[in-house]
Amino acid sequence: MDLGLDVTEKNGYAVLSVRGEVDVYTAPRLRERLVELVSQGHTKVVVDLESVDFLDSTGLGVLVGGLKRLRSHEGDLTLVCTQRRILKVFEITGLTKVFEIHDSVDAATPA
Amino acid sequence: MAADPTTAVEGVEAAGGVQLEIPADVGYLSVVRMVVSTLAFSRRDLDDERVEDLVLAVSEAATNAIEAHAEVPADHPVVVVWREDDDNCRVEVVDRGGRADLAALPSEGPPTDPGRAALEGNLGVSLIRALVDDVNFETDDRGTAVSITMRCGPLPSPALD
Repeated sequence: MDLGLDVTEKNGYAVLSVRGEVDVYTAPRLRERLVELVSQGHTKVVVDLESVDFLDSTGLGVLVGGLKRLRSHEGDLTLVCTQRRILKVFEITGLTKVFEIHDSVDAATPA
Repeated sequence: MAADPTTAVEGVEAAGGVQLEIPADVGYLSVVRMVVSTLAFSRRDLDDERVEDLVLAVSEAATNAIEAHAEVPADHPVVVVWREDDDNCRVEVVDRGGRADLAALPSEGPPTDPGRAALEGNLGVSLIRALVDDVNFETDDRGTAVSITMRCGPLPSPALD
């Protein structure tokens, strides 16, 4: 099992593309990467979940933590996700009301 | 060893079940998910989404079980048991991490403050309750058993011509 984390920049947004399985084993690396982006001065962060195969409650917690961290720096963290099984986890936990969720990286990174 | 958790699940394999013992290490969660996914797809009449729901619920229960072992000697395994009958499949996750505070578990229904719940790390039980047909928690001084049930028939037998 591996977790892929790639960062690209688009229109002033840092786009963090996550690949693979996010669970309590791999989530610390996602958390570290988000903290690193904030400490590098990024305030507009998009987390692309389109290549995520599995996301558990720990992964949700890390994303919520990232959102709070960015908002405390006058920034924001939005998501890209169209996978029904991943969206379902956000719906069950009420987190669709907490996160802005886009259909594509283009939609999440307006010029 | 009087408190061996496997005594709770003796005879499982003789009854057509499957028993998996894993070290209490989160690096093994992907193995648990793979085994449950394979059993559900190969033996039961469940669509992809219900299999994914079951796998996520078991993964959450196994995560809690492994975390309950933090204070326990490392050689005590977490036990995952698959059982099935004509109408259900059931996965039990058994830890020996001591008594759990079941009263502190989130009740049924969506969390009232999702952001806070996620930060406090208790979304897992809410997810389990939402994803599966039935879940039961039992705890004693030795540890906790979480029993997760999905209603589903066996895979239909191939037609005999």
